[in-house]
Amino acid sequence: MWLLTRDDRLADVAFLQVESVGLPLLRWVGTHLKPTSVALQLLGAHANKNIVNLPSDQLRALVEKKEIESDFASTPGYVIVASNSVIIGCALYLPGRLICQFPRHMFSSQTWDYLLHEVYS
Amino acid sequence: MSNLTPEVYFAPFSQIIPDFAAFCSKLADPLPVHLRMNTLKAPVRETCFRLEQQNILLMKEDPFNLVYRAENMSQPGHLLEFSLGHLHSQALSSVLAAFALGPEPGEAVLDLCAAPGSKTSLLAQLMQNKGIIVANDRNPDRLIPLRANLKRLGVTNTVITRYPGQNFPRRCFFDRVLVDVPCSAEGTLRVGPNGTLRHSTRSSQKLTRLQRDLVLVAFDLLKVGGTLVYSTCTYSPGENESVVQFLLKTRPAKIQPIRMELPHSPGLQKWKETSYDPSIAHCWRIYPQQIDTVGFFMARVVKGS
Repeated sequence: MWLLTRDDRLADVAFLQVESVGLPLLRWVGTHLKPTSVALQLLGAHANKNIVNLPSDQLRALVEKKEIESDFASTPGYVIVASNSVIIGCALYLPGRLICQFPRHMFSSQTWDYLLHEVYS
Repeated sequence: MSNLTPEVYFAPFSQIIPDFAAFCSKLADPLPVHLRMNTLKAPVRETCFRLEQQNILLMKEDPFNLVYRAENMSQPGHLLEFSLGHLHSQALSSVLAAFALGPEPGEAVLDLCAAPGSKTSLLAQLMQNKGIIVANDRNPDRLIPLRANLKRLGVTNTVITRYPGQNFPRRCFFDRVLVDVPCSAEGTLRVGPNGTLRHSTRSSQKLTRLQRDLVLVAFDLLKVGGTLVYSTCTYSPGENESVVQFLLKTRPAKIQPIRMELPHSPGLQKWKETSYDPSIAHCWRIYPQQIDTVGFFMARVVKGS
């Protein structure tokens, strides 16, 4: 499912052979719809629940280990991961576990070198 | 691939490049890192604050409060803010082409040679993700970074197509068209550690023919009264003023001044035996000794009836 700005003139270009449109919004995972991290980065500021705030060390652990153990005040399901008021992306929360759903190459190992502890903690 | 000093390589242009010695000397400096803040994802002030907290020294570069020169970093791709799409690494001259086009929210815009999407995403930013952009590029390999950049930067008003630019269907018409054509890219050359330029291309007849084809298609896809920006990152008049002159001769095109307050040189009036239309002086030539960025040429053209 894609997020595309509504515009009447889309009909004018409908004859074009299109490779892709807009931004990926949701994907089917089994019988569930999973929001994409890029969509959450754009729209997540409007969310008022299912947000998990992580300090920088836990964010790094989530990225590197793909899963962290902890209990968060959230119902099981897909959640928005934020750190220092910045929305990072999507994760799957199961009781006691948070499983990373960020795109595979979203971060490089050097990303963390730039982050000062005071900024993202 | 051959290696020459700037003085030798650019000797054919020594009469048209202002302060040729300063130009050659500037090419010894590495290209600076410019960061364009992406307001589709985060406010400029917030992103700057976060970068400064990481001890990144920022200097404002453009008159639009969007582009900053990062003094003490070489790989912005490793920044968290880059991964999150809060900023994009983009040459200042490339930013200026999008500003010269000046799209408004709600317009229909075509970026005919769009990959890797730096200018496309800035067009979307200037349009506040409203209206529609058709981002076209013929090369399937280049569609991968195009798609990735638009996704990372939060662009939602873009349709991506893969036509050879010269065969783009002339069945829909746009308020504005950007045609940043394939070129010999001499503006990107800087001196390497051995004191010479690494280069593999020179302007060719084949390239010039493609550029002429592309500018005609781009112009034909404009609505009457619509605006076209033709740009290259090269100094060769054959790829710049000559292509614009060809457009002026074959289509009802009118060159418009580019209204920005930045150092630049006017389009040439003469090159070898060829004299150009006086209005071509409204085009911009950007040299690195004027603005420390990729050398660039751009022309803003309006379609008459």
